[in-house]
Amino acid sequence: MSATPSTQPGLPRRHAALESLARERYIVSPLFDGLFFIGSPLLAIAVILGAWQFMPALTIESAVLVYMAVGHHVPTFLRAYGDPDEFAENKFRLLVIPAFVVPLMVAIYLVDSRLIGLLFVWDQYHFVRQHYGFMRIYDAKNKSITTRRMNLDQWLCFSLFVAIITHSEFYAFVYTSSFFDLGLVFPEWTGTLLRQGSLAVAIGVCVAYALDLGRRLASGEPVSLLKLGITVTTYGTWWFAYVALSHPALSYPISSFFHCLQYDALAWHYSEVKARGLARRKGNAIFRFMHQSRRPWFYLLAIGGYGFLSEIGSTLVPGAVFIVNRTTGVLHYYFDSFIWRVRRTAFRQNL
Amino acid sequence: MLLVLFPGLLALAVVLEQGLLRPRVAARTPVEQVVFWERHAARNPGFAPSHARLGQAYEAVRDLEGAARAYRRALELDGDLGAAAVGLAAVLAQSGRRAEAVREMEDFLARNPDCRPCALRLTDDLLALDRVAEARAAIETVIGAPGRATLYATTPDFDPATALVLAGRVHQRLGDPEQALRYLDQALQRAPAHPAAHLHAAQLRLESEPEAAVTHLERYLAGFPGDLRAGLWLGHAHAHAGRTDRARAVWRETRRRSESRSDPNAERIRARLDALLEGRAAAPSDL
Repeated sequence: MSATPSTQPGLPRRHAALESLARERYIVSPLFDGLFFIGSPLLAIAVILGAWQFMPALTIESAVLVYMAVGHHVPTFLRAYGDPDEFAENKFRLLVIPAFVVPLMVAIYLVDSRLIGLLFVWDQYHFVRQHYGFMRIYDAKNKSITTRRMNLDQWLCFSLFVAIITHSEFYAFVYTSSFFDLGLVFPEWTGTLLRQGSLAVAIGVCVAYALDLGRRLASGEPVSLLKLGITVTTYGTWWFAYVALSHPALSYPISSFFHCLQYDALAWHYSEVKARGLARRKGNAIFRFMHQSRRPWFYLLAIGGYGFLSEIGSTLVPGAVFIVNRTTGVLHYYFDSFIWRVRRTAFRQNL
Repeated sequence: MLLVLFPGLLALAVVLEQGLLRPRVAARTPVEQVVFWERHAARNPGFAPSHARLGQAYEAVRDLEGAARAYRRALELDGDLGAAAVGLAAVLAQSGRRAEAVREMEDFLARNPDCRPCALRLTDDLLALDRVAEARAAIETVIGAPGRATLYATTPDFDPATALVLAGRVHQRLGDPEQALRYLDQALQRAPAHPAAHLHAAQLRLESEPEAAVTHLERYLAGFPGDLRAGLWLGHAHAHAGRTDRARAVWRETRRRSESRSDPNAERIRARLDALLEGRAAAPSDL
């Protein structure tokens, strides 16, 4: 149980908070968590805006989309199909669902359906769910799980994100042009209602969250400062990228950069721990090889390699690469919805 | 259940999109698009692509001044927005200010050398201004020098086949038909139905490979049956292939189609067709 002011009578609040932070259980270590999870949103801003000083925005956007956004599908497949326990538990879903998704993507491509453009909505949902997952992990690490907290966390995650995107000129354009090209035009008042309504809801949820936080601190319940920290950096960065900066070529790369970095780092850590504990068998050889401790090169090569092959392939067989990338994207969203569930004991054991 | 429900819903969505929404998109008038994007740009004044999209809407209603204003506003907000740079150059060219279009695009490319659509636009304008050597330099920034082609991925704003067609046109103007045809054939490998590739390849093969020229022109005319010049060339291709009767039939059909048009180009072609049908003209010399 984390130290709180109420368990340290006479201790100043500032020191109590530091004590609490020192006793928190990190996912990996203070440095790893700080760099790849909590600090990565700020790192994304620094890297993307820093690179902008030296190269065109479109070059940066292209590099992030190809080598990070597309590349980060690889750890999903390594885990889903390489981890023997995961595969055994989800064999039906992992074998049958792709058999449906692939022909669907081919059909959508062949009829040139603009519905494919709406995949970005699932992408956004996926971004928020990943953040929510980190909140769950930090709570689990610090033995701070209640249904009430989970519900409030979900409300916080989604209400804040919706408020950000409804106040973003970047997403106003993305949604407007996507639906317009699809043939759907919504009355102006719907946009106004969404903006004002989502802001009101977000403010209400934040107030409720703050009150609940205060109550927990006062009653001595454990509070994960790391969870709060990653929420502040993540949503602060999303606000900066999509509302303050709102750049056509840089806003999404900032978001994608830290999303992918967090994902790749967590997947590496989890799979590396899992691989160490596996008995050496032919069936898990690839999984163990790709997640060798102190040799992340093959893992990184696989991520970068998929991006590289996609870039080269799209000059030769653009249609095929389009279908493959969209397929791995959809499967990535779908598989992630069950292979990283924090409530699964087997998953938490390897964190 | 989900395995049936989800694909089923998606299939239903695609059917509805193709059957209901696509016709709505097709039925949209250019004026409706202008109104829509004006309102959107007014609500999102600080976002460059909104103004670029408005520029495209103005172009569709031939309001070239409005389009230029919108594209310039987009570039003020984001000096690296390629779509706005290409759009501005296009409307300047359409307004008869092609030299200005070239200057604007050269300035943009100096800051954004990786903008491939910009290089294509510049190549097209330089060819129109008869600055062929510069056009060659511009297109080779995209596809590399002959024999060392470097092509990029197809993106919504860049089609490698179009780049190859432009390269073919450049070499055609440089007096190198073999290299021109190499580029045009590469374009057709990537995009077998590319109309400009067929048209220019037909022009180059008209006398040396008339059968191939017939094939190219028939593919082109399938998409653009009203193109009088292509009809004229098709007749010539048949004539070169020794099919005089077929040539005359094509010319008569083209002459019939030209009667509904009164522009100078149509009148010129009509006069040429009359001369050919009356036997007053022989092989094409001014195509």
